[in-house]
Amino acid sequence: MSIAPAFRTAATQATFVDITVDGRSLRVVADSTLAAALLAAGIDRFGPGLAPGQTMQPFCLMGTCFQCIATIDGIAHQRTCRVVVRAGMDVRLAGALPG
Amino acid sequence: MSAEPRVVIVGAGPAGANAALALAAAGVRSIVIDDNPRAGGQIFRVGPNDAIGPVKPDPRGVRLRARLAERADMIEHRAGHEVIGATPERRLTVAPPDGPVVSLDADALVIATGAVEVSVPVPGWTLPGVFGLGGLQILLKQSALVPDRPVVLGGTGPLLYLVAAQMVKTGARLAAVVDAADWPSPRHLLGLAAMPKLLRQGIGHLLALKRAGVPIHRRAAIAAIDGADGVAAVRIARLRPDWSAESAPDATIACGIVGVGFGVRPNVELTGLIGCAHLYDPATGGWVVRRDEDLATSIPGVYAIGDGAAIGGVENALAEGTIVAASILRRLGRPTPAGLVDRATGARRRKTRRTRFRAAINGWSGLRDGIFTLAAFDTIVCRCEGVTRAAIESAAASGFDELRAAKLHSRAGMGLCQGRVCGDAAARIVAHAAGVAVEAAGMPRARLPLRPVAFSNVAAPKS
Ligand SMILES: Cc1cc2nc3c(=O)[nH]c(=O)nc-3n(C[C@H](O)[C@H](O)[C@H](O)COP(=O)(O)OP(=O)(O)OC[C@H]3O[C@@H](n4cnc5c(N)ncnc54)[C@H](O)[C@@H]3O)c2cc1C
Ligand code: FES
Repeated sequence: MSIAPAFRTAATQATFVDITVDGRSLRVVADSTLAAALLAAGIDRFGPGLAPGQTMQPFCLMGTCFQCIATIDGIAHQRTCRVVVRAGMDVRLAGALPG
Repeated sequence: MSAEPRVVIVGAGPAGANAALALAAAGVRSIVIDDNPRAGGQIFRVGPNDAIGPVKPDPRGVRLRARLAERADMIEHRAGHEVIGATPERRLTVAPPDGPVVSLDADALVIATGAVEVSVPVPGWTLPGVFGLGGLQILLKQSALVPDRPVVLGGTGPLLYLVAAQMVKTGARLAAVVDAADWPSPRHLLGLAAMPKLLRQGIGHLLALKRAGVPIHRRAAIAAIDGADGVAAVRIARLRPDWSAESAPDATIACGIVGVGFGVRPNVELTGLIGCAHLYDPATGGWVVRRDEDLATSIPGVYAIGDGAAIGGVENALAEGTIVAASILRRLGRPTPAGLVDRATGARRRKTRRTRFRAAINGWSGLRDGIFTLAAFDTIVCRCEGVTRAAIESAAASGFDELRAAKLHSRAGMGLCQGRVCGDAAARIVAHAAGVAVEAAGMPRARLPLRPVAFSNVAAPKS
């Protein structure tokens, strides 16, 4: 699920924090949203959709579409585009299916 | 309730923030609730840290945030709080960033919730690498992310050219811009000249694209997005005057990221929940809030301003913030400072120019229903529930000509997003299949709570 990132960060004077994504440690740019941090890390699908072959991943980035949801620190259905990364954040993508 | 009346404003964009500032100057406190970490709304959106972005924060937004901070004595800005319910008695249910939901009663309630982007489903639009136009802009403005693969942007309206110019400026490889509209006609240009600064900006964006050698396809749309497990290419189709495809897609453009957006419409979910009257006005975004001269809705004490009421752009949002402050002072029986009276009068007077500009934007780039026939029968329309165009059409064909009934039957729009993304398309598909006008299919209604709330966070509401 992780490939060469489709985005590069243009952040100047960036600082970094470490988070955990599905048990894997990931260093991401501080002060970015979680959705952006995951996209920058090359994670471009966040889970399967309900239709065959459909995947879920960020689309609107403004809290509308719910395609970017994940379980964050144990709380399900969090929109990763609305959340700013924090050091030590525990993110579960696989458990983020709707319903 | 305390003796002092409580004014609550939902939305800290230019409309809501300006209303709070004008009230503060007149000695009236307010609570401003906004789900973003920082004030500014869509246009003045920034990340948590101004310094890191490749796009410099809009100075008007910087000023707005500074003024809000200066008036922290009068304006309580609840950043990161989301309103997930509202009643005609002006009782709000608010979800804080963490902790249990609370309820909040208002004597005067201002809905300033801004616009949402209109999405058009096409084959392949659910592939990884496809984003809303606004979404790509937000990645840039808020998180300093620049596409590192060739980009194709499609859709219509001013945001298309603004985002395209921002992409070029930040060094993204823009392979093409695909606009459903034609060039603005001389008549449209005359109307756009009502706001000379905005017209100049638009021309500036066009010139930037020309200098960068970006091909612009007009009267055309991204009719299909191809790729095995991510975007590999888009196919472009010429459009008829009603924006349906003239023929099968012909040109193919290789790319790795796609941004699509077909203009904006008012986010009327709160006014819908409250039960305010709405009307259908394609020129200002479709379903808009019915308001009087004072920007009051049909529900006493509830006002609606900015793009959340009817699309009018940032100048209009700022103006309506000023006007509504004067209306609220009158309602509360408070004196209106002379300065505010003048500014409100000026804001009303300039309305004619803004309306002319908006009409020209709509005449040039306003959504035409044929675009919604680009979805194939097996194209997923509702992403949340994985519902195809064919499933919605069959629900509509079995007699569910009301949008609500067809949605229940097909499950389109019944997922977590409550149809915020697919609602425009679903309404058109239902109306088309049932042979009725889209306004006859009814205004999409949101359900309570607007957003899912973790059970652990549903506690005894208090004020
Ligand atoms: C994706 C997108 C990008 C845009 N980009 C531009 C641009 O670059 N330039 C431009 O001129 N115009 C842009 N616009 C148009 C924009 O709508 C106006 O320019 C202007 O921002 C409208 O101001 P407003 O105050 O009415 O709404 P907004 O600025 O949208 O502010 C509304 C605020 O309310 C918040 N809100 C909504 N619902 C709730 C809720 N239930 N609880 C809590 N808070 C809530 C929103 O998050 C937002 O912060 C954009 C619109 C969209 C949808
Ligand atoms: S990307 Fe749409 S809600 Fe997060």
